[in-house]
Amino acid sequence: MIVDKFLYQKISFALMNVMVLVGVSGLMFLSLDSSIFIEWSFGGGSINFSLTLLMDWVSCSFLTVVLCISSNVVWYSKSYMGGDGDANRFILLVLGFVVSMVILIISPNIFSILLGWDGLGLISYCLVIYYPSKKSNSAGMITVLSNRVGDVCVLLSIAWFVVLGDFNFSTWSLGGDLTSLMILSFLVMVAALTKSAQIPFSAWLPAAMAAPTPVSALVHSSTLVTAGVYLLIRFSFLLGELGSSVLMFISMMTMFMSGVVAIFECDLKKIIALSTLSQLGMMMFAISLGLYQVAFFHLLSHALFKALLFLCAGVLIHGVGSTQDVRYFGGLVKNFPLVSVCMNLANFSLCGIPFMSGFYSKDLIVELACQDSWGMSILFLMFVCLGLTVLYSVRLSFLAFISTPGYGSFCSVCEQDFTLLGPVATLTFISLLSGPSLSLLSFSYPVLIFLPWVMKMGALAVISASVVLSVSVLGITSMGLSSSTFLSTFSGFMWFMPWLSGQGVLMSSMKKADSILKILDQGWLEFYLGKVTESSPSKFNTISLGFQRNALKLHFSIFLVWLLMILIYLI
Amino acid sequence: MAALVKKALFHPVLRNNGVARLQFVRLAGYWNKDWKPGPYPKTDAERIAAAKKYGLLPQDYEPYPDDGFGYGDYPKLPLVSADMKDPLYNWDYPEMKRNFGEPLHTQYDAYTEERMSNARTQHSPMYMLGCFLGVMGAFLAVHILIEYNHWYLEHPWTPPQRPKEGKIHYTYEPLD
Repeated sequence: MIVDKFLYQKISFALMNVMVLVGVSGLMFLSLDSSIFIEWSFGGGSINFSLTLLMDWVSCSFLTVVLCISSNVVWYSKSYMGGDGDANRFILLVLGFVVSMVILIISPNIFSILLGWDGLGLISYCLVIYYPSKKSNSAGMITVLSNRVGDVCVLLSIAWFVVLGDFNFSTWSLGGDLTSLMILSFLVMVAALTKSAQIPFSAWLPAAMAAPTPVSALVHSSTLVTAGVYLLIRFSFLLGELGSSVLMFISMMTMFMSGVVAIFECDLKKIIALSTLSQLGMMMFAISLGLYQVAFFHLLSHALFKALLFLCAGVLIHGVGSTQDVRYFGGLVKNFPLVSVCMNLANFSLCGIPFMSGFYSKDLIVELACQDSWGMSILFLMFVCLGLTVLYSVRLSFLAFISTPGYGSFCSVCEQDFTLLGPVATLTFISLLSGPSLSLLSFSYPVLIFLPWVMKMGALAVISASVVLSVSVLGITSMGLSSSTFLSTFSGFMWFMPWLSGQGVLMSSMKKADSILKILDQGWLEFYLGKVTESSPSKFNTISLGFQRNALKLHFSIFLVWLLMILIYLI
Repeated sequence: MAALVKKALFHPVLRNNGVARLQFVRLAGYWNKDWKPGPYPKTDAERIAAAKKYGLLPQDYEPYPDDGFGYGDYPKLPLVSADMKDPLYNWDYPEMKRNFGEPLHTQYDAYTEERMSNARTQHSPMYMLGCFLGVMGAFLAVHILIEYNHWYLEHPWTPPQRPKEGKIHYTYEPLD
């Protein structure tokens, strides 16, 4: 039970105030084209610690978005989690997560980034296992263990940063040899891939939807998963040609995989999680092209409309009686008019419909990619992924709002809780404005892109064609695809990645671990550490008891031995 | 590997010191010496007695082979992971999905509901791995082929005219 019934409002208001302060500071840094290093030194003499913080436009803008989403999610959680018995634990975990994210954002060196990075992983585990069920436990395990791989890579990279001579990314100097730089680049990239759930570490993101919906809105859409993208943006100097090529391929495959799988998915939150995966792939793709500023712009705009999408999903899930299967939805536009409008606006941004917030960043990435000469496979896959995004977004809207009302729709309540609708409306308003405002602020000069008209209109043509295709296919069946084809099986199981990265890895090492258990733990270690530690003290005890028997002969013989030793010493 | 394991486990040091071999129940946090399995049953009478001890029918009782892993007369039960057992049945211990007196599998703690599962999957592990690697490999092969042959979509484009110190992109002269 919540002790203070205004606790959530107070926290939300405090976060909003900090957001305004940080936002104004960011604008100031942008206008002055400056940044601030704040360094505290502790200790003295031979032991000297220093804590450094970096405040610049990038960190302030990211902080503003994170705090804005956190404030709205906490406000939303008052009603969504209000009836829960562990609501205090929930809000503490959320606050802990926000603090970890703040530490990550304002850290200029890999040491303090590690503090925030580890904090994010561990607190997100605690949030995923919030509900006490076996499914949440399994989801939490795969989440934390996948993130742990990235944590290990960051730890290893700290050692390799010694080669560069500096742990700060803002004062770097590439003084190391090529091998060290390649290893460092590999470690940082793997860390970013695990956190951002790129292939082959994609299994944890849909599984993490076992967490409460406010957690998904804050953690799994806009903050935790973007930490990997943020790390790569800050450490972009490490990415060489080979790293960029590998990143390009992995990000393209992630976008394609998540787009295809989302078409076959029936869980509402998993569809949105897969769309997050697709957009993360888009950000990684932009980084691989060297478009760090554009990737950061897409990160910010995506965070806002994706959080909005999750909040709308939460209202629908609550309204239809806690079911997440979209096949039980249908016709919800009548019961949830405001939420349907907000959700569709978020979907339009996701698809890159002109002049929505996603259009400014997504279309920019596509046009800049077309501006340079790339392989046809890359361009083809990019346009296919754009179309897939539209396909699953239209499918989601159709199944939730337009199709024949399902069981959940007949039992649903109307939208009447202002505590749920307020954050939805606020985020909709902010998300709509974020596109044009961030595009003006992010780029210090206008980006003029000259392309042949076919390529210029390519993205819009693909979006329009995908809308027509999805509507025509949806008009026949819910997706028009048989469930027995290889494509539906392969995609329905997410390209078998959950099994391969979970049971597959476990099974292969289980038998070897079993043999080691039998030989070492239950065998030699049991003898040397168990039996010996049991029998050795008793043997020594027997010997020492013998010396305490007060035997006159024993004492006299010890006296004689000492006398002999003293005589030898004197001689 | 099995021969090496057998040699290691049949070492006189381990055999003569009476090491409690079956330590798996320690993971449950409680061990009783009366639970230590008996020696491997060699005669039919011993087998029947062991089956009765573990609450099994003699025709269902099958001990582990005497290959040095130290299971003694403990029965070799079929491995059924917890998620494969009926969730709606009225178990005596519902969290373990087990009834009173039912013998546990030697690896039961690795196959609880939140851990591993040996459920039969729709496809074999090799099929799943093959599909995943096949699809990724196919895309990679196409990508490498296109990059190697330089099959790029060439189109006329101008380099971006970004502001730079001292660089002039445009001059504004009146048309003559």
